[in-house]
Order: sequence, then structure tokens, then C-alpha cells
Amino acid sequence: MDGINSIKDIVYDAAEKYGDNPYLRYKSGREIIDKSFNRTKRDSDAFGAALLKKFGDKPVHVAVIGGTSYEWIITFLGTAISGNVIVPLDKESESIDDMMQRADVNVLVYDDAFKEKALSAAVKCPKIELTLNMRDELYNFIKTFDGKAPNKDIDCDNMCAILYTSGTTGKSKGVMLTQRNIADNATCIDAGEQPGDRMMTVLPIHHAFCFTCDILLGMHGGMCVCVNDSIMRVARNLLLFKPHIMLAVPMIFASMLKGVQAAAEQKPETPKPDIAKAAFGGCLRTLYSGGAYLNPNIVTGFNEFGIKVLQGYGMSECSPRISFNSKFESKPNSLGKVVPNCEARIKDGEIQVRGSSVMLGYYKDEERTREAFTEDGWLRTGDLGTLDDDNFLFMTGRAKNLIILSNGENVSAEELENMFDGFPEVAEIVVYGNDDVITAEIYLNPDMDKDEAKLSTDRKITEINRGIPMYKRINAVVYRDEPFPKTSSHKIIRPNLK
Amino acid sequence: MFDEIKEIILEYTETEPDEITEESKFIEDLGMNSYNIMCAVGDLEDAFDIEVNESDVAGMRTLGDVVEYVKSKQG
Repeated sequence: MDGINSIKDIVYDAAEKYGDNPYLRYKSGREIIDKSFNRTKRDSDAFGAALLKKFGDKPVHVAVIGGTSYEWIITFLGTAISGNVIVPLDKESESIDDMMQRADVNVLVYDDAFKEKALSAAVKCPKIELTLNMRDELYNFIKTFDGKAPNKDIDCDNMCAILYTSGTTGKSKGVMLTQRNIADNATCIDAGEQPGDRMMTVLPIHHAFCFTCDILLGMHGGMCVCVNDSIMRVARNLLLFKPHIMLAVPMIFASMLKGVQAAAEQKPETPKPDIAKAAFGGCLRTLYSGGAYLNPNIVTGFNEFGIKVLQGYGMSECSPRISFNSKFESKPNSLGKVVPNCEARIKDGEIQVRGSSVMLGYYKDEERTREAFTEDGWLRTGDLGTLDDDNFLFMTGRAKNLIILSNGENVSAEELENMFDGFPEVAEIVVYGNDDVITAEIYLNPDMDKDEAKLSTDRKITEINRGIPMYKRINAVVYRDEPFPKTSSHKIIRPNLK
Repeated sequence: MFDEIKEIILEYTETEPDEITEESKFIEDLGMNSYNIMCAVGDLEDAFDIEVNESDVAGMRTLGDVVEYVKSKQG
């Protein structure tokens, strides 16, 4: 791993190797802005130095909320470089105040687009001493530190990040990662991409898949990371930035494929690779998929257009990669080869892992940390699978009750079910994902008038949907005439759907 | 305006054109997913020369919602 043990090592090493080459490319109004590896290091250093000056040596917890931006990235890197703890928040989340309180956040850096949400949450968090918007307050905070570096030794095995991930019981869990966890995951394998290659980042940046594999892996590989400014504009930005590679979730790849397949049907005389070149900017050659099940038809479909799709597998608890298919080594329908810094085993059908990318545990949650590991120290993934002699993983199912949508979002069924607690019209409810549509199957209270109970339940669902992010919404309802079948301990037997 | 928006939506759904009304719900009726909805709304930016805030898309459940939104953006 080239002597790289920390996020700081990645930033410093890349600045030394790639200097003034473009690292981050993004749109600002009608302009395209490039930030070099050197500039990124300098501004990240300045943010780290400013934090140390203000707060001293005791680590502070810095929450950051916003879309992918240069300011988000220097906040992340500067926090890590100065030995502090970064808490990336989901801008779509409805409970950032709770997350910040639970993570003991002291500093909040926010994108102005989320000002109201950020500041109204911040007032509920008594430990927050400083809030900075990314527009000007962040730059004012660092301007007197330009050219200065934080002077602090980093312990690579201390917590450096708290990432929130969906818990199966509803309450999100704060995954504690170290500098070594993240740096090892970003640098443990050469995927064969070249310095100067362009990658377009489309994933939400608070996810480990984005900041480890786009932001840090891209930096370590000397690549130019191009920022897709909105998920609404992927098609346009592909033409603008002309990326060579892209990491995303199956839902995006499925939609891209459908677009070029439709174009190919209209122009049967045009070679398919030419159609893909016209649609995707001309350079796209590799797509890395993660976050959800990848339909093999997407892989074969893109192959016809001259583009390779490689599937990986991971979870926030593993920083996130556990295995991936590379252009050197891949097997159809597999989750890929286990990464070199990680070991995998199958126990009672479950995929279990250990290695230098596996988390310390869940922040201030000993019980769930204990549940997450086996007695001999392996992390339980909650996924069922097999491991072949070449160290390739294959998934066969899920042991835990989490809905994984093809957009990579994980939704806790129980969290949604619990929202009906104390609502007398609903006697029994099971929520599941049915072909990507979150579906509530409901058995109404048999003592109430059926039509009225139904009407009132429909209204309740509308009200719940209004208060939660779009991806979590209940979009289909099935009313049952009979109660759900139960186990001998009276637990509902959940429908066995994907 | 409805017809123009419908044209854009047709790129993302397999529903027959004459089955699409202002009341059609993207997910339940047209079988679209959250990403398709985002892409379609992104296309509207070009078609109507407006700028859409990503967070506004969460409030759009039907074609009628989109028509209203575009009208409000055009002032």
C-alpha cells in the first residue's frame, strides 16, 4: 500500500506526485473550474490548521452537509488531516439534529442550499460551537491559514469518521472508521485506471462508496474527478465532462443502458459502440457498480456497446469495499474478488469479514457493536453467500431485514412499520421492497369499519410520506383480508420478496 | 404545456401515450423510479429554460404537479 496509512498520506502523496494537474472539476454557473492536487492539499491543510488553532489538540467532531463540492471535500480532508473526526450527513435525512447530537458534533459546515435545515438542527445540538456556510464563512475561517499545515501527529487507528447507516431496527447507526480503515480501502488494489483519466462522481458524497472510491481512490490514482452537480443532469454532464470511468448504482446504469438501446433500435445501421460514444461523451469505458444487486443483463447489455460493467460489494462498516471485479480479474455474476486487505468466510451461510478496513464499531452503541461481530472477531454482513476457491464472493440472499433499492439506498422496513405504532386502524403491517417499489401490506383492525379504516390509513400514509425522503416513501399498499401467518413465537412471517 | 411535458415523460415510461393524464402518478401509474423522475425533470430544464432545485422534485408525484411547477417557475 505504498506506505500509505492515512487520509493525510493520500492527500500529501497525491500533491507530490500530481502537483498542479487537475484533481477536481466542476461547474460554477456557466464556467468550468479546476482545482489541482496542490490547491486541494493547501486548502485542506488550511482548514485543518484553523481547526487546531480554534479548538486545540482535543479532537472535535465536524459534521458536513451538502452535495458534492470542493468545499465539502476540503472540509472532509482538512478534518482528517488535523486528526479530527468527520461526520458526513445525508442532506435528504429528516433527522440530522438527532444524528448530530448522537455523534457529539462540535462544528457544522453546510451548503447554503440546506441552510434552514442545517441551522434549525444546529440549535438543538448544545455541543455545536461553530457553524460555517460553504459560501463565505468557510473561506473566511481558513484565509489566514493559507500555506500553513496542521502540526499534529495522526494516530491512524483512532476514529476519524462517523458514518450513519440504516439500522435494521429503524434507528441509524454511527459507523466508526479510522484513517487506516479508509486509506487501506481506497489504496489496497490497483484497478488499472491511469493518472489523468476522468471519473465522474454521481453518488451522494456522504456515502463511503463515494468518498472512498471516487474522492480518495481518484486522488490516489491521479485522476480528474468531475462533479455531476445533480442526479437530474447525468446525461448532460456525461457529454460535458467526457469521463473514462464512473461509479454508480444499478438504477443509474439501467437507465443509461435503456437510453442507448432505444437509440440503437432507431439507428440499426450505426455500430453500437458509436451510439454509446455519442451518448456518453466518447471516452466512457468502465462502469463500477455497487450498493445494490446488479442484474447480469446490464453487464451483457453494456458489453454490446463496448463498455465494461464491473460489480463490487461492500458496506459502510467496511469502508466500504469488501470485494470487487476488476478488469484484470472478474467472474460473471460474482460480487468480485475479496480485496487484499480483507478476509472473508462463510459461516452458517452468512458472509463474514475481517481486515484493516473493518470498522471499530458503532459510536456509543456497545450493544449493536457486539451484535455486529462474532465472538472470534469477524464482522457479520447480514448477507448470505458463497466463497469460491479463487476468493470470489457470490450472494445468495439477505439475512437481515433491510430493503435494498436499486438506487443503492437502504431502507429499514421496521422503521416504516414503526410509524404506524399507536395507529388503531392498522392491526398488522409488513413493509417490503417489491421490484423497487416500497410496498406496505396491511391487515386492518377487524373491529373497525373497513372502508373508514382504509380511508384513514391512506391519509396516514400520505402524511408519513410527506415527512420522509422520496426514496423511503411507501408507494404501494396491499390490503389483506386475513392476518399474516405467524411463527410459533407469534412473529409475523415476512413475505419472501427481493 | 401538458403535451410537451408528456412527450418528455414518454421517454421514461412504457405506458401508452393515451393512458397518460395530469393525474397519472409517476411511480404507481407510470412504473417510473426515482432516478427516471429526476432525469425527466432534468430534461424539463432544457425544454422550458428553467432551473429546477433537486429538493423540489420530492413534491412532484403526478404530471399535474410538474405542470404547476413549471408554470410557477415561468412566473
